[in-house]
Amino acid sequence: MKLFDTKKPKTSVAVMLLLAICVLIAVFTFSISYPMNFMDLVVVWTFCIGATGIAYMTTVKFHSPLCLTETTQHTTFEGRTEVIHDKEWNAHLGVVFIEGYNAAKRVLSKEDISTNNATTMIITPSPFLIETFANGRFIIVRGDPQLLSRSEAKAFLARPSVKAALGDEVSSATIYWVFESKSLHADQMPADVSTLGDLASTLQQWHGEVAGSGEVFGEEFLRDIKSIRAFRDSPVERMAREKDYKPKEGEEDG
Amino acid sequence: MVGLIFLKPLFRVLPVPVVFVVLPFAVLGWSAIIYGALYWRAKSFIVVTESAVRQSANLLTPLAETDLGGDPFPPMTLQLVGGAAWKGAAISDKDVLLVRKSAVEKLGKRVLLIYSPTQPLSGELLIGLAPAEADQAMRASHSGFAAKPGSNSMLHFSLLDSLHGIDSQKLRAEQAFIVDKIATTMAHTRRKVYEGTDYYIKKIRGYASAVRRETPRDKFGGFFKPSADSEAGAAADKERVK
Repeated sequence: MKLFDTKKPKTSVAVMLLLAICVLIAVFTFSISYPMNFMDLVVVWTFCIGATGIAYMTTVKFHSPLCLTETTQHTTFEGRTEVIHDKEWNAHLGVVFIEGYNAAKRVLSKEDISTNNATTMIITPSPFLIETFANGRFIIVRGDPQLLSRSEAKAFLARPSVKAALGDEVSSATIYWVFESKSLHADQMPADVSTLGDLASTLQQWHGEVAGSGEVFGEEFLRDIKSIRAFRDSPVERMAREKDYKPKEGEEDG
Repeated sequence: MVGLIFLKPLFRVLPVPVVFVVLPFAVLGWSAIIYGALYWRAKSFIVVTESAVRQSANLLTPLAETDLGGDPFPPMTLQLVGGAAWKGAAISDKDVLLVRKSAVEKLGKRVLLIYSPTQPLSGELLIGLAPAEADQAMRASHSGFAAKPGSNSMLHFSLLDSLHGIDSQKLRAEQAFIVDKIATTMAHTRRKVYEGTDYYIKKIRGYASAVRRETPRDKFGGFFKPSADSEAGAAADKERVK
């Protein structure tokens, strides 16, 4: 949308001149030869193609769905999240699959879980540390992910509940664990995240807070409607309408 | 040894057309321009909105912000986006986000979450929707935003706040209505006020040049065959001479 479309068009003379220069360069560069070792040429081509490829691949990150944490950022294929109930811990764990990419603008995509079952996951001690954003295109993990060692990751995947939930898809994985969150309010999280026995009561408390804030949302919603209505009925708008409908003095006389 | 014998022809010096030496560097330069900027932006601060737009930013500090709300607008914040800052080099932000202050949340040190379904608009419309902020955005030394004709600057605008439940289809329609009703007309009015009579002079010049504008066929075809316009002009000149 151009409001003031006074942009000068590119002059065709300049375009034709540019084209002519390009043709001249092409003709000269084809006709002029340079004595060069064939392998040197191969090395130059390989370097340039490699550098171009790397630059192209890295831009995939920009157009892929993202998983954002308090300290890191990861690409994902589709922002897949799951909740696993660990019976032994009597806890619901949040799982986010990351490190895939899906950049339609860059034609490239890779599933979060590849065919050799290698995958990267972020595990949270509560599903409520995970938030979907922009209809699931971005995943927000409220915490600082810590990389587990190989033995820790292996032990985690070997847990019966985890194996039952993910065993078919994931045999080995790089796992990040979120221990704490700095971006959630203190009253929205249990004081001791390692004890999840009071999860139900905490959930009930949260539910109550959300229900209470629902009334605030309603008031805010109504206030906004009033604001828009007040804006429409502002003196500027009213004068504009009166100007449109009020007949001019000359017309009245006539 | 056998391998070296096979490889030996590859180490011969050959007369290579210069184009094959220059071309890979040209491709490298082209890709550095096209993808390099995006790579740079990917490494910078991240700004994401509810409308699934990912932006990069030079800074996460808002350019303008109101603490108190008042009818008709709630407290708003103006954030510059579209630039980059990484490894000691920076590109100024060319786009702006104008959203409710309550819908903005900083996550960690490098991410800004905007809980608003922003509407992508031409940057020129900021003049109509938030004149004071537009002036600030255009004149701030670290801003690359330009609400000028032909500029690529964008405005991502929203009065809604999904975080606090202020988002519905009706409200989105209301917001679009405000943009359609106010933004363009106010931008035009402000430009007229600022430029005074020069505004109309520029308009007339623009119209005149549009009428006079020649196509390439007119310019180059005229050498071989006069165009219909030039024929008509020549006929009119003859009439005048008479």
